[in-house]
This record gives sequence, structure tokens and C-alpha cells, in this order.
Amino acid sequence: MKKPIKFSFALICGKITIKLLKLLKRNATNLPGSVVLAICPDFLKYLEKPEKIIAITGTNGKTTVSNMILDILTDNGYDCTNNNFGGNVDTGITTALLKDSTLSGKAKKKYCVLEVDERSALRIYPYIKPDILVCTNLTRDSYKRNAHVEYIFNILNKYIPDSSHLVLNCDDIISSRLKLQNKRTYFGIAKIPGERLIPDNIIKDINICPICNAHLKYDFIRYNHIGRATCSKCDFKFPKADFDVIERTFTDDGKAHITVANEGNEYKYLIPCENTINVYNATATITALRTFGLTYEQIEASFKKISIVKSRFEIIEVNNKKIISLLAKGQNPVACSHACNIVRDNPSEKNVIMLFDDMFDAKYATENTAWIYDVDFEFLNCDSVKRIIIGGERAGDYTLRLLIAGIPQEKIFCCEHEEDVAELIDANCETTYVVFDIYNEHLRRITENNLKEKFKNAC
Amino acid sequence: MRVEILYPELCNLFGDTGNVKYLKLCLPDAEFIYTSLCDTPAFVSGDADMVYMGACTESGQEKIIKQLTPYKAKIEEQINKNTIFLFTGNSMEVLFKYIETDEGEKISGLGIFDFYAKRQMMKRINCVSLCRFQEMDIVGFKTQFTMTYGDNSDCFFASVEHGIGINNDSKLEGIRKNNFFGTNLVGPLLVMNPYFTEYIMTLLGVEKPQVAYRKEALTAYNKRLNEMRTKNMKDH
Repeated sequence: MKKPIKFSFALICGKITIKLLKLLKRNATNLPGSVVLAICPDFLKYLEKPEKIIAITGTNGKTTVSNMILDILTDNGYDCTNNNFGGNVDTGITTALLKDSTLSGKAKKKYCVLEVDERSALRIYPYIKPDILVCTNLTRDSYKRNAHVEYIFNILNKYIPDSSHLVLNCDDIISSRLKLQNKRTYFGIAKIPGERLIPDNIIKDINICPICNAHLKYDFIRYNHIGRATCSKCDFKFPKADFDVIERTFTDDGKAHITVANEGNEYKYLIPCENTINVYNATATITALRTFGLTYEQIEASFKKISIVKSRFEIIEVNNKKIISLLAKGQNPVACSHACNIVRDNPSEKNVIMLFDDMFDAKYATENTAWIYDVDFEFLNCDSVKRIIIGGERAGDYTLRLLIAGIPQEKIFCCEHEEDVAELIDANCETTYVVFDIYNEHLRRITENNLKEKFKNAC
Repeated sequence: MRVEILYPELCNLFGDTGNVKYLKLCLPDAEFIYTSLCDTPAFVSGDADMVYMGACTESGQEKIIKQLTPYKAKIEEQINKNTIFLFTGNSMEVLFKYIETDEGEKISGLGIFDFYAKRQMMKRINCVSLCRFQEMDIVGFKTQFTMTYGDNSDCFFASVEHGIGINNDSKLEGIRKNNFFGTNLVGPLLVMNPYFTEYIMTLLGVEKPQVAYRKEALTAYNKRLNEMRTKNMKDH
């Protein structure tokens, strides 16, 4: 393929931008890619790609799965181009490939692991054809950006290359139907005896049969619409899992023993996962890597060495009081409902501090809070939740939402100045959750420090 | 009193369940009927005092058009008989003449209202809205792929102070005919607008209507209203 001059010029400019950022001790994330694409919008068409590419997409879990796949491949000696520095749109992916290319645009590495934002499919897949493409799940996300699940499904279905081998979640009736003509391998988790299922979520993004519109009958729903469904009228049913978790036991130190059934055999793994969502992520990882060609022994050995980034879940203990910080991606009702469920599942008496205000959304206008009516705040209506403290300007909206969820008025406390929320906790509670939006990391730190001080001074 | 929720399995996209939950708390004695795609709607036999439908996907709209087409005359009859209809998000579009897709295809609607909607699937429209209905300020959010075209100057729902009307060039929001209210405002419209909800309750025959958690609802409403009036707002 003949490369235009603007491609070479963009490549040089991109390389210079990476060098400059390095000199300034800044990470090269999206900026080099932005520079390159501004000069040559179809840059990715001309850049040589690594020989073997694994891409990971989906609403929730794609970062975790990407990191696990990369860690395990690295542990097994595969040197991979990757974008785990955080850029999962076209600019970040361009930066990742640019970093690992020569001045003539040749790929320096043979392997590549890319996390790909779902909406970026139209700008990525025309140029990058993943050999293996994992879709973790498709559930409701930010209305403003992602509209609804069908919209994202249609984008992926249109742009995923016909040649990609798909690794799909058989417990998700929506994403499991992506590109029905493509080669595919399914993963899933069978119903585990004694498992706490969550059939009472407000949102189920699919309720009717995709073939005949009749009601779906679920054998079980694990959360939202994730579960195993059959049609009440026609012969439609969930696909059979090729890699099916049939046993799962959580350990006290945040791990899980799982048994995966595949082709009549059973394989045991110890995985660094403290909840079901991450068991799905680990199973997607296992399935992708077995499809890639790693052996059970290679994956099993590597899992023992890796850990999941703890920034989404952190426990601090001060004078026998626990402060548990939980990241809940704001504007994403499914992620926030997971956080509410985690709080509900902890039997200890607790305070729940909520720091959900989205200053970026509020910057241009008033914050859009329609999404909070799809969050399962009803889960917090349990005896063990003693107080819910809402911090921020939208406290009035959250108060009303919590009342509609049936939370008794006397349990709800408001504080427009987020920095002061720690003052409102019930000090007798053993545990205090700090549930915070991704943009409120600074407020989470302030709150944690204030709580630590409070607990230290209490003794 | 019977309130019919049309197609909740499809029409639940942008916090619409909040409207229904809140309405149930405001009308504790009302019977709520949830009509699914396979059922005959209650309004067909005149058994609903209010019919609510929320936002749905584009393919959902087409399924609903197919389901409701046989009941076109009944819908018109109920609108003429002053039955209350509240259609939020893109749900009113099923009653238009047609919905035009990006490719120029025209999907026929029920043709009850002389309007059409035009989809632009790669252009998401998000905005906050402040408008006036009778003597009430209405606050809300829009999140949509469509614009509506047609003359609503004599049948609009509310005049717009901030945000857009039925399209970028319009300052008149939605459609009103008798007690039919159609608006692109989404999700928790009733929760966010306690005075409007009390107005709907009045139409339903409630004497001295009081919304649930009135004090808290008014606090949140007034704060939002004040913020929208004082902040230099930009759509995004």
C-alpha cells in the first residue's frame, strides 16, 4: 500500500510529541494520537499493525479484562503493544501503536492487547482487525453519551470485522448475539448453589425475545439482564457456554477458587477476584487466552501472580472501624447499582456516604440526574444501613430519590459541602462506606482522611 | 382511578421508572395497569383514566407502532374524551405521520398528529430545559436522536425559556391536545415538577392534590429552578 506524505509527516510529529512529553515527564496518552489524527485522519490505515491483536470491549469490565490478559501474556513472555495507560478511543489507540512503531511505520512488536471503547468501533475497526475480540457485556451506560444498549449493539454489529473470533458472554442475551456469522466462543457462570442472585434490579435491558417479541423466561437472573433466559413462546434460548464456571468459592483474602468446565474437562483456577462481576472478567480472560493458544497450566500459574488494581475498592481500618471506599461510575446506573448491592451484602451496621455529584456535567448547565431513577437505591433500604449521608449540590434530588426508594427519612442526612460529610456519620457503626463517582477522587481522599482523624480521636 | 403504563418492558430508558414509582406514591388509591406488547391496552375498552408511555429504542418504536396501529381510532376517541395521556421522550413520535431515518426511509406512524420526526443516529442531542406551561415552570432533560417537524404553534405543550423546542429552531416544546401531553423531556419529569404533577392529579379528579414528599420535592425543584435561572447555561 502506497503511503501518502501526510502519513510520514504525521508519524514524525507524533514521535516528536511523545519525546516532548517524555522530556516534560508526562505520560503519552491521547495527545500524540490527537496530533497524528489531526494531520492524517486515516493514519491507522497506513500504520503497520502487530501480527496478532486481541481487543476488549463492552460496557463494564473491559479495563479489568484488558489488564488481566496483558499481565498473563507478559508473564508468559509475550511482549505486547497495549493501551493500558488509559486511552481507549481512537487517539489513545493511535498513541499506543505509534509508540511501538519504527520511524518508517513498521510495528516493533508482534502482539497487541487493546481496550476499545464501544462507541469508537467505527473509527477503529475499519483499520484494526482484531484476531480475537472480547465483549464483556452490554448494559445501560451514560444516556448522554451512549444513549441505550441497542444503539451500542448496532454500532458494534456494524463495525466489528467479519474475520474477528468473538469471545462473548453467554449470560448476556444482548452481546451474545453480536455478529451471528462470526466464529465465536462463549463464556459464562452457571447457577452456583447458595449464590445470592439479584433478580430485583430496576433495569433489565432486554425483556422480550429477540426473535418473536414474547416475554423472556429467566432460569435465573444474576443481575440486571445477566442470566440465562429462554423464550416463553419460541425455541430461542441462551447460547451454551464453551467455558462455564461451575464452582466458585470466595476466600477471605479477596480471591476466588473457580472450576471451569470446557469440552468435558474441569479446570481449577485461583483468581484475584472478590466478587461475581470480576469472576465474569476472569472467565472472559481465560476464554480469550485459551482461544489465543495459552495452555491451562500457563494461565493458572500466571493468575497466582497478578492482582486487580485496588483503586475501585479499598479498605482502611482505624481503631476497629472500617472505611470502605467504592468507586461507582457516575451516570452509569448499572455500576452504581452494583455498589449499592455490595453495601447491602455486608451485614455489618454501616454509614453510607455518597459523593455522586458530577462537576463536569454541571459545568455547562445543571447536572442531569435522570439516571438516578434507574439506580437500585432500594437496595440500601435494609436494617444494617443506619445512615445515608449525601454530599454535594444535588443532595435535594438524592434525598427525594432515596425517599421514593423507601428509605426512612430519619436515616437520610444531607451536606451540600462534600468536605464536611464525615461529621454526619453515626460513630457507633462498625463500617462506613464512601461511594464516589470517578471524578470525585479528591473528595473521597478528603473524606477518608476526615474519617480517619475522627476514628483516631475517638479512642 | 386506573393508570395504564404502556409497554414498560420497552419504554423505560431514561429514568422513566421514576415517573411511575412517584405517581404510585402520589396516587396511593389508584390501580396501575402494566400493559405489555402482547396485551390489548386497557384504554381500548375505555378502562384507563390516564395512559403513560416513556422513551424507548428505535426498534421499540417500530414494534409499538405495529401494536398500536389497530387502535388508532380508539386513541383518537380517548383524546377527544379528555382521557389523560402523558408520552415522554421519543414515545409521542409513534403517533406522528412518520419517522424519517438517516437513510431517508420513512417509517409510517399512526398519523394522529400532523408531525414527523427525523433521526440522526450519529448526532446525540442532550440539553437541559426550562419551559413554561400555564403558570408553571417546567424543568427537565432531553436526550434524543430525533427532532420533530411540523407546526405546533396552536398545540404546543410548553413555551421554552432555555433549551430547544421540538427542534433546534423552535421555542415551543411538545404537543398538547385536550389532555394529551407529549414532550421530549425524559425520565423523572413528574418527580422534578411537583406543581405539574399536582396539575395532572387535579385532572384525574384528586381534590386538593399534594404530591408525595412535597416538601422535599419542592426543595429540589426550587433549587434546580434557581440554578437554571442564575447560571449561564450552555447545552452540551
